[in-house]
Amino acid sequence: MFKWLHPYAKPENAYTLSEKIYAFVIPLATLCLIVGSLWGLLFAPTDYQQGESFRLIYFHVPAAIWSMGAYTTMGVLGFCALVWQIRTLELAVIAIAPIGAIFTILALATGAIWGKPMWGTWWVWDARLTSELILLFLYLGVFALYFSFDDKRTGGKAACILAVVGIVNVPIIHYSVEWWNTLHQGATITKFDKPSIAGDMLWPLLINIVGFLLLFIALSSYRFATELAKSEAHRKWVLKLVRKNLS
Amino acid sequence: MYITGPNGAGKTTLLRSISGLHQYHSGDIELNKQPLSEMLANVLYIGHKAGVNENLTAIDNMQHWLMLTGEKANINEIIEKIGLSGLDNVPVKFLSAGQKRRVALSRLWISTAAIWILDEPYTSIDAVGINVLNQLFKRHVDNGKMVIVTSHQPLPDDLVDVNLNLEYRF
Amino acid sequence: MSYLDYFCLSLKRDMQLAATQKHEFGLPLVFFVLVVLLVPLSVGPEINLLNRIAPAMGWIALILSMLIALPRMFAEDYDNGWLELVFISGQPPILAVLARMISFWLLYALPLVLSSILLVPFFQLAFEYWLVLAQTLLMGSFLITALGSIASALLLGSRKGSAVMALLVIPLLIPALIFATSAVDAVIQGLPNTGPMLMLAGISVLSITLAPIATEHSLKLMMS
Repeated sequence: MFKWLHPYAKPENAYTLSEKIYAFVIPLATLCLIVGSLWGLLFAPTDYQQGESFRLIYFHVPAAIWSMGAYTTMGVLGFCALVWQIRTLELAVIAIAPIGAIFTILALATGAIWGKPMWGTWWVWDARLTSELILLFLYLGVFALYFSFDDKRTGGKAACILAVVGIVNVPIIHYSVEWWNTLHQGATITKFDKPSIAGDMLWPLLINIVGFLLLFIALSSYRFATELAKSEAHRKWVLKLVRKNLS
Repeated sequence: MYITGPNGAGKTTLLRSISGLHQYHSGDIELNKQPLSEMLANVLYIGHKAGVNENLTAIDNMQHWLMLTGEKANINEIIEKIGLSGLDNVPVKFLSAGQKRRVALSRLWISTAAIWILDEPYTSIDAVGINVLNQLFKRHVDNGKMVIVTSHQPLPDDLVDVNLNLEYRF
Repeated sequence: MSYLDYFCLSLKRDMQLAATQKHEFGLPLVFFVLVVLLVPLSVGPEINLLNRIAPAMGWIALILSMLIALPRMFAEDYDNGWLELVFISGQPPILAVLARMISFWLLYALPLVLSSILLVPFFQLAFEYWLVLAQTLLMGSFLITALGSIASALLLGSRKGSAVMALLVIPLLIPALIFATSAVDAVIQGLPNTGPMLMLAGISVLSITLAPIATEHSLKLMMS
């Protein structure tokens, strides 16, 4: 597998590959999101308990799932970047961080909006919202560390180390917060916990989860390509590329 | 070996690569067909930041260097040689710039390393001191060992075997 | 020279350095007391309330005061070039890193943990509850030292100071905080607290084991 992957450690090839991935995935992502959202918002049956507000699930759950997924990806890539000393992977970590942070913010915002009709307040110290908030700070830490270096090369590596340290901690944080929540609130709030969902409601959710995943892949490869071109701006292949695009 | 070049040419980076501090992008550093990174104990590197703790006295600093390399030396004798007798119990921060540099360079007398890598050793050293240093380099080279020096000051010709001039290129 | 000798000598050097700057070590302690002082002034001197939040305040004060001290862990040795010598000396640098972490813990963290005894008179925390709290603080101080050493090493080249430090360290401390405060609460409510105590100890041991490796790696990165 490494033999097959190795040519892509070269920035030029990685750039072409990620451009291709972006071009291929973005139409699929758009399609999934449009179908899933329209189906979910317009045609899925109304929840008899929560009314129309439950429809936020079609955005909240995918965003929450992939905000965690993005962090995991970041940690794994960061680990590989450090172990095999692959510069391009460091850039991938940097490329993913803001997308993951945006997904986290989206999950927090939809969670708060959903909480208003359900609990009567914008914010409840619910286990999932709290872990999402901590996750946001983990993302911000990676950012802040990256931008506190003038030398972006060092900054990228430092961010990788932090992402790896974070990934070790994410499960601990997640389960400790869950435990803390049951300790202090009992099992009063279980509405976020896997409501046994009817098929008509489930399908659009699944489509949107896939749609968010594809969107994440597309955006990350786009940002990755940009970061690559930025960091190699003085190399020949970038100049060639610019000339080709201009003419 | 005498390395020259304008500011930013990469003299310090080259020296740091040789001494194993800088992770270089490509290539290998070898001596007699062996990677140099495997014999770092034979390398003495004195850079701009020399590892002198200013809150400690010259003697304490030297003792710490000895601890690090596991070498033995007569500290009082060296203090005398670098012209700091009487000042050996003063914290280094109260010494002058040249005296501080002398404390840093005292590692040359302590060290048993074969390869000396010195980044701008002459900075703030007076004429007498430079002479002493040059003699020391001469003796070291005559013993069949190696000194790699960067400097903006010309070195006496009889001391230099190889002159490597780095150009500034982007 | 054996590894043990090298380790002991490194530790000795750290202590010798500390002896030249004795005044430095008082500051985090003073800060700790200040944070503790702010609490009754802000929530009022009502003793029941103070009593209830005492363990939490002890933990928050510990975290904040450690954050004050952490940036200093490697700064001096980095600035004067000593760390470079350590890394090219041929001795395993992780020993020096470990020695520094231990000396940091002895000089900064341990006094803070001990000074949490102030919560007994100030917040009228019962002494036996303080004993439990002190145990959790002790384990927490290992954890903060371990995680903080990574952050402290990572921030050496950047000069952004303690705001970023807080952002790096605090989210990672949340599990420890949760287990520690619930361990104390359990004792106060007369329940067994072995579960959270063991979890806290587990987290601490995990980070003490892994942190020196990450710190060594980060330091190396900062010097290249």
